Amino acid sequence: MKFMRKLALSLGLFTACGTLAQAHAFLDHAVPKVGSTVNGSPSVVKVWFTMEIQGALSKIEVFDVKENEVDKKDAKVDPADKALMVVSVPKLPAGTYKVVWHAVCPFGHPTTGTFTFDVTN
Amino acid sequence: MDVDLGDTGSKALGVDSFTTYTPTIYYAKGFNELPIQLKYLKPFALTGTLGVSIPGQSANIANGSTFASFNPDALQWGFALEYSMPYLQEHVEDLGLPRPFRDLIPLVEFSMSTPFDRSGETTTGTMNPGVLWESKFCQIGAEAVIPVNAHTGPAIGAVFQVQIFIDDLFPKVFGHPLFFGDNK
Repeated sequence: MKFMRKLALSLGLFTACGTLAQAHAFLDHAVPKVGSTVNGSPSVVKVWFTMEIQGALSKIEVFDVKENEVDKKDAKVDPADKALMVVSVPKLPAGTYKVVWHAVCPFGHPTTGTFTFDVTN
Repeated sequence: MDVDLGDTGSKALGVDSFTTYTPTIYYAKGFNELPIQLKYLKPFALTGTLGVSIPGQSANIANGSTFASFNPDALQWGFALEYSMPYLQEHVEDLGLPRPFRDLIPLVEFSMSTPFDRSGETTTGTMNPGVLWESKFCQIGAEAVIPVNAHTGPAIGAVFQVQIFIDDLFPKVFGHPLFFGDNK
C-alpha cells in the first residue's frame, strides 16, 4: 500500500512535469538525421529543438573533417517555426560533416551539442 | 562534504544518534572520444564517488554506560555505468526511437562501504540495476537493490526516486546571474 502511494505521488509529479514551461533547448531531430548517410549533398541543414530558441543568440555551424567551416554562415530561425533553425550549405563533396549547434532559449539558458552526417555521391 | 545529521529521520530505519561526516570526491567520464567504429559505445558513461565516512562518535554506549559497539571509519565507494539513449539519439545516431524509449537511461550502480578501523573489516554494499526516465523538468528512476554479499543482508529491495529540475520549472527565478546579468 505504501508503494502504491509512492507510485501515485510520482505519477502525479510526472503529470505535472508535462504541463510546465521548459527552459533548456535540446536537439529534437535534424535533417540530415543525426548519424545518417545521405546520397548527394543537402542544400540546407535543419535542426529542430525541443522548444523555441532566440535566433540572434543561436547558431548552427557545419564543419568538414579538417574542421573547416563549410556552411554559408546564414543560420536563422524559421519565422514559421521558432524551434527550427536552418543553415545553407554549398554542394558538399563526399565525406563526413560535423554539425555544431548552440541554442539559447527565451529565458537565456544556453545549450550546445554536436552530431555528424555522411555525404556520398 | 556529505553530512548525515544524527538523530534525524525515522527510528525504524535505524538512524544513528551521532552525525557522520563524509568528505567525498565525485568523478565522471563519458566515452565520446571513442572512434566512429565504436559509435554505439559512445553513450556509455561512468560516474562514481570516493569518500571516507567519519562518525562523530567512535563507539555506541548502551544503557548510559555499557559499551555496545564500535563505529568504524569507512571507505565509501561506488560507481554507476549508464547508457544514455538521449545521447544516442541527439549526438550519435537518430534511430527513430519513439518516446518514452528515447528518454531512457538504463544503468547499474554499485554502492559499497569498506570499514578500515575499530574492528570493522567486511565490505558491504549493493548492486542496483535499474532505469532512469529523463524529461526536461524531472528525472524518475527505479532500481532494484541487491546485496553483494551475506554481510550486507539477505533481502532484495527497490528504490524509487524523483528528481525535479527547479531551474527548468522556474526558469525566470533560477539559472540567472544574481548581479549584472540579463538586461531584460
